[in-house]
Amino acid sequence: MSYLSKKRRRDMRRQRWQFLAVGITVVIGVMMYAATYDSYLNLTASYEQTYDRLAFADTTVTGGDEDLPDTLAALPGVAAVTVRHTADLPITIDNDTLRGRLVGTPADDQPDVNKIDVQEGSYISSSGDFEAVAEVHVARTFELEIGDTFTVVVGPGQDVEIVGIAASAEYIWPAASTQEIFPDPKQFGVFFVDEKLVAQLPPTVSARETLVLYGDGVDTAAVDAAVHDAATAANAASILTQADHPSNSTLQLDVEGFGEMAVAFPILFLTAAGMAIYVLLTRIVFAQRSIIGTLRASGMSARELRRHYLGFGLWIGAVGAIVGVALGAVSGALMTEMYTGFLDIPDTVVTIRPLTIIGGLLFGIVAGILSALVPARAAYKIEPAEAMRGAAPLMSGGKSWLERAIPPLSKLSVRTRMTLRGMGRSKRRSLSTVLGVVFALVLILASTGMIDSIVNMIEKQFNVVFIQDASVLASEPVNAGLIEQVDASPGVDRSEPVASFSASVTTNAETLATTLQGFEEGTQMHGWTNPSGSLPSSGILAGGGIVEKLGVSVGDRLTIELPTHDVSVELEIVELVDEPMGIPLYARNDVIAEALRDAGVADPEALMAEPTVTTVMTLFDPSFTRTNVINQLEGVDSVLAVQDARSLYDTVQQFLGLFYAFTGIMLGFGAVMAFSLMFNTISVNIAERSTEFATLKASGMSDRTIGWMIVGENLFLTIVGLVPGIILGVWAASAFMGLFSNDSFNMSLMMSPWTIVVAALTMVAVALLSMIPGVRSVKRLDIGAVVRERAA
Amino acid sequence: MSEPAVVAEGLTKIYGEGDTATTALKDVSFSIDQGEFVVLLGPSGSGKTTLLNQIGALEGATSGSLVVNGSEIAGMSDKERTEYRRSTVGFVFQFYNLVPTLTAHENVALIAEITGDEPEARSDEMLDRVGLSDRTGHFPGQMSGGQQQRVAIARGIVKDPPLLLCDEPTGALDLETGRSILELLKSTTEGTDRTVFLVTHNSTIAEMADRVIRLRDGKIVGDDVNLNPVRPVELRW
Repeated sequence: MSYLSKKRRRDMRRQRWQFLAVGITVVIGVMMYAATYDSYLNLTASYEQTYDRLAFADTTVTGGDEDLPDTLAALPGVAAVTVRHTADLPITIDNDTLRGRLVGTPADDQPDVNKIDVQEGSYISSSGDFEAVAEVHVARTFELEIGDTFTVVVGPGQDVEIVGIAASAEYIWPAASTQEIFPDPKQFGVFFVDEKLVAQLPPTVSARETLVLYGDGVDTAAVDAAVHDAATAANAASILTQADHPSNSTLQLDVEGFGEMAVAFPILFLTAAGMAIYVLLTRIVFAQRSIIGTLRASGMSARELRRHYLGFGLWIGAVGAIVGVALGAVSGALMTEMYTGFLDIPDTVVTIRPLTIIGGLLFGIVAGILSALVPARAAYKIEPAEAMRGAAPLMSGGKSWLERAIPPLSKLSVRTRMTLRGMGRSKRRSLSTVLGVVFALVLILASTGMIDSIVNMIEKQFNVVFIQDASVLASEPVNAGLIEQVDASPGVDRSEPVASFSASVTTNAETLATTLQGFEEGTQMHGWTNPSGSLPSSGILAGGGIVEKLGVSVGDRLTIELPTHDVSVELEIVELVDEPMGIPLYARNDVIAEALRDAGVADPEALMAEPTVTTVMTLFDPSFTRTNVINQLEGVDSVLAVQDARSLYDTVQQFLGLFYAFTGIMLGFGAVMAFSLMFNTISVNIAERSTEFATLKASGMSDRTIGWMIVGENLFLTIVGLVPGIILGVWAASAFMGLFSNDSFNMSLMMSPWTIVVAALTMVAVALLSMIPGVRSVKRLDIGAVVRERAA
Repeated sequence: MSEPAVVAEGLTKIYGEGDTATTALKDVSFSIDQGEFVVLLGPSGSGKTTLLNQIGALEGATSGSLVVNGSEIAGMSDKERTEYRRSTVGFVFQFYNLVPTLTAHENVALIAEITGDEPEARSDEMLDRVGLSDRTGHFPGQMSGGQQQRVAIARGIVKDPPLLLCDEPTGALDLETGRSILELLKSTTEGTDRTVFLVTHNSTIAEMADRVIRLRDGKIVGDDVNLNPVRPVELRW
């Protein structure tokens, strides 16, 4: 090892705590990149493997002419076609009633498309008995075991025995439909039964689906278009590509948001690490001016010196990157396992990818080298004549800007004035402390802001917008008699019919799949966030996201397709609502009925009374026990199921569980980095002034007084950094929220002022904490040693 | 007769421009022979350190000529000056400028390494010559000022440079230690062709020189040959 390398190694050892702090920051940044990016790729690969293994349909076509399956099978690029029937029927499991989705699948042999992954028990046999394979989510919710039974409530009722428990690519996220991506797990469950049985159900309750699987390597977009054209020509009711499949699209939105954050957060961390390296090296070069001058005077070339100081950045970047990549690989595998376990994804693919390793190493090394460039340049620009000076050039003295702005401050004690002037003495050092505060606040506010926004968003959705306590699903048309019965049930305060249609709106190339909901005039089941605060007497209210999604706004007339009823209605957008979840459409029930009539529906009131369209929303008397009220309601004649709004809240919370975990980890890392940055800038500040402090100590100044001077100076700089830190932090939080926004969640920043206050106070506390080692080092300062070393 | 070690002709150095221009050296001319021990004497601001910087090619001249061992150095490029310093000049500074994280041995070897001359052996040899063979593993912070300056001298001569430039080498030392340092400087050059330039404001030190150049306000005000230089141990100040 060359002596110059030895010098570098010992310089780093001498300031090991500062380098360790910087190193930890690099490690965190690279680890986050490697872990989250690998997890993102692992999850994508896990989905793909499951989809491939279970032959998940590339397109699902509902309805259409009898010969449609043959037409689709003959299209170029189509590898297989399976026809099946599905039916949503009321079922009971023990004493619970829920909506059971019966999915037809051939007995004895798996279908060519949409196979199921039997994890317990066996596949359906052709024994003639009524057998079913329960989907894993419903099996877990109701603790179903092989041999248990459920009852299909059709006519006299039919008991069905569970012979197996299986996962399905279609229901990894158990969404009931595009409009119901968060069904209450107690109210919706999927069972796979013999296709022959489902096919026998009347067309009013079952739907025929043609599942289309494409060949490997085909042009998916081209085959999608061909299937779409053929299905449309054959009068298909709906065409759903794999990308739009509710389970897949919900999971993809989640994974993509994850993927975007996997790059955004590490960049933030590595930028902060780069700044810390810059600060540290700048101060090292500054402190070594006379040595650099001596080396230059002794014939060392500028290139050798540049390489020497760049080496600091390279080392810290490389070591941090290697440790970060190693920890990232382990964390990535753990995160993938956790995620696939959390969502019951049948296949878990964990791969260590050379490109991620190379990317992580490059991230760390490039951050290290880039941040060392300016200090290294400063080093080789130092003239050899600097060696003659022996000490760093003196700064020009003068009053602080604060003293100039507030003249009475000049009458303060010399100690206080020294503290004030200390901040302006080395502007770069002061700036680096301020920037440290700014970066740390950005990290903390970006994390806390997101958690805050999600909590506020959910609170708004479930306490301001969805204010009903439960939705009652009936087995008969919803009429005044049923409403009265529900109203009379113990604990029910109020009940109203609420219609809900699956709807789609297409403008130009964009299609919005949503719901059109109808409420009574003066409804108390929904909170209105439009400017007028109520449901208008004509036209519709639309979710604010429609402006960006479809490019339409208030005053535009929308053609709203209601595919389940094969009709389109035309309604004008009157106002926009600001709701956190989805892009819904709302109108009064009478407005929808009128629009249906205009569209040619003979008896819209009868159509809207259908239990598949209208439910009864209820508000409970708060003095009653929630479970009792629901149990009583379930006992009302004609009531099929009661969907507890609280369960929906819990489901959404479950969906966001990973988000909370990820953001919580970010918050922890942000706090560690805040400490590292502050500790670094403050300890560099103190180390640089050791001679000054030694002189003050030698003159009889107490450690406590010197400590207060350090605290005062750095605390003031911390406070100066709070303002830009808060502004940038709020902006960063808003930008990160945007990464998670999609059609299901409108993620806008809703940060409580208290969060900002707490973040600012936390920053002050972290600053004080990070000063402790420095202040203690002043106490331990060996005056003789400092003076001797200064001479060296 | 061998060629002169250093020849200056009309050497001028001006810092700054316009109203703020300061003339640090003005039309300086002299000729120094190989092996001479030269003291540059003058009060603060007289230009002695500027002249040392010029001889050491630490900075360029504004005008004039400076020839060292037959080579013109006044108009050298940065790269040429680095090469010149590497091969021709050794420095000893008032504040030692040792690397605090390297031992005495390593500080000397670091400079030997620049020229690629067996750094280990050369470092040991030089430390032995300055009387520090028992302090080779000590760090600067573990040594006295005099010991640190000895290490600096060992570092200055480890490349065996034909020119040794010393800037106030005793400025931070007491009388006794200062004398021993001067004795060491003298002894390390005796019997060699090495030319030594020593900058000081202490006129007593001039008594040990072969040649004394006096400066004031950037000009040479005296250039005397000392026919009877005394040993440093005889100096009193």
